[in-house]
Amino acid sequence: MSKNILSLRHVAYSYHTTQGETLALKDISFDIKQGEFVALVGPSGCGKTTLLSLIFGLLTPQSGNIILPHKEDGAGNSIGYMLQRDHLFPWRTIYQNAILGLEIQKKLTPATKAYVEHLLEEYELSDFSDKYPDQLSGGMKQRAALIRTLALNPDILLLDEPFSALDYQTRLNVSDDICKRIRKAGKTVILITHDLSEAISLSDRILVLSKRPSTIKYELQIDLDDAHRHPVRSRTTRQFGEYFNILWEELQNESEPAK
Amino acid sequence: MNQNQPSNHELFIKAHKRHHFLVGFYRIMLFVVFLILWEYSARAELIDSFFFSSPSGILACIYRLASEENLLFHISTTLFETTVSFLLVMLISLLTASLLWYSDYFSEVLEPYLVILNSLPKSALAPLLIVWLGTGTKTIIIAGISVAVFGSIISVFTSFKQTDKDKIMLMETLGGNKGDVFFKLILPSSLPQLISIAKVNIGLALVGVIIGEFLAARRGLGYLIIYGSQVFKLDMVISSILILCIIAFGFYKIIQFFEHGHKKKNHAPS
Ligand SMILES: Nc1ncnc2c1ncn2[C@@H]1O[C@H](COP(=O)(O)OP(=O)(O)OP(=O)(O)O)[C@@H](O)[C@H]1O
Ligand SMILES: [Mg+2]
Repeated sequence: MSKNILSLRHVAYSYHTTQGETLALKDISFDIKQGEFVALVGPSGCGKTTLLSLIFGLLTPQSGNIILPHKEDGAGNSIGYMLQRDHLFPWRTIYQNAILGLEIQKKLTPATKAYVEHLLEEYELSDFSDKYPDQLSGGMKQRAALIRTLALNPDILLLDEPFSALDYQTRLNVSDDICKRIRKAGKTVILITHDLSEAISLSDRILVLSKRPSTIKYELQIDLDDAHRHPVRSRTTRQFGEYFNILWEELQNESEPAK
Repeated sequence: MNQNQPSNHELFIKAHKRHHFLVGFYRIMLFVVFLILWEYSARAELIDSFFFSSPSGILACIYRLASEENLLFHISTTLFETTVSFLLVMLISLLTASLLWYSDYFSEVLEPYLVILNSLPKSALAPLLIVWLGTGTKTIIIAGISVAVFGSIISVFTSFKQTDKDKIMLMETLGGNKGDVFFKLILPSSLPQLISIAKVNIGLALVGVIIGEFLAARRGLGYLIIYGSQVFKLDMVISSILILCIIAFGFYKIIQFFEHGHKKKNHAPS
């Protein structure tokens, strides 16, 4: 049994504007284990992005705690946060975009550069490293954005709808491809998605958020063998339909108007 | 099929070149026809060449100015003053806009002042500047700056502010602080706007410098224009205005050169 890499305890957060207060997250508690792949689903505007920003530290919880236990060697676990859109800078080449994080954190060394080159190779972008983003396809840009996050070698990856900008066909291939590689690298992942089949086929566990002000409404453990961890093949399994129905019901209840 | 493609492309290139050639040709033709009509009307006394001069009169006048009145000195004075004003305007507006961007308080407090200063007719300031600073080169340069600087600050600040909020958030997810955001995101993403602002500024700086020279100088093209009109040497006025046109065009070309360099760098074809 691997240990917890991240724990949230009664986390709450509200946005304040002159119009008033929006309570986005009411009471969120969960644990994530080392190496786990967790999907986060919930109705639109329920606070999923807010939750990732809190975990990363861009926002500070209004109450509650976010606990990141230290590793054995005493160092903290680092977090990589990949936003919904690729946001590659058009004035930088793919390689220059990929090393942006290293450059900012002053970690550009021969070793880290070699790592970025290795990643570009692994994600089949090395032929494009001197090209500019507008010369790449949507799927390639998404992979380049992922490399920019991976270059900092984070232990935990937060992915906010990373595939939503892609067309369906590309999305199936890219999500399968990227998630396999991330799994192989032993990263811990929290993935936000609106696509239930994507959530089922990619993750070990799914957390369902209620609508705003949100709490964790439901937790679903996914048991699929590796052969069926694929956005298309998973659908042929017996469990898939079951999981899908459970999630669908849970979310359906959420989108009905409150009485 | 393979034979078709290059020939189609060749046709395209040919049409493209032809288009450029024709545009250039008509441009020059327009100018030549204008000169001929002007010269003809003056010689046939359709227009009074005392008031309207003529191309040959202007050439003669420029030759005379160059040999007797030290025309090159006047031109270089105006060029120097305009260049210094322009560079200072760019520097001041970049620095001020950066400060405004850095602190929201600062920008909110200063905004109405900037708007008022910008909408002020700047030529109204010139007489005041002369009283305060005397009639030297310094006054002329400050007149040039005063015409361009407030609008420039506002435009540069606006272009800084237009940067995508999500891209700023991206910089934060990579651990960037405000300085990183500024130098790695805000500045490079505003570069195209900065170049257009520079184009506007160089024109305004020239306007400011000429206004300054009208009022407070013993040298420069603005002085030649005013002096010429006072002694009714309209040849001299028109010649100076023509030289100003050429200078403005030259400045424009220089900035365009930088613009092309920037575009080439960003969209290097492979
Ligand atoms: N900067 C902000 N100021 C005020 N309210 C905000 C702000 N950002 C988000 N909110 C509000 O907080 C709630 C949660 O927003 P959040 O972006 O976390 O939702 P989400 O679950 O990621 O939505 P989606 O699925 O559409 O991406 C929304 O109701 C939104 O209106
Ligand atoms: Mg969101």
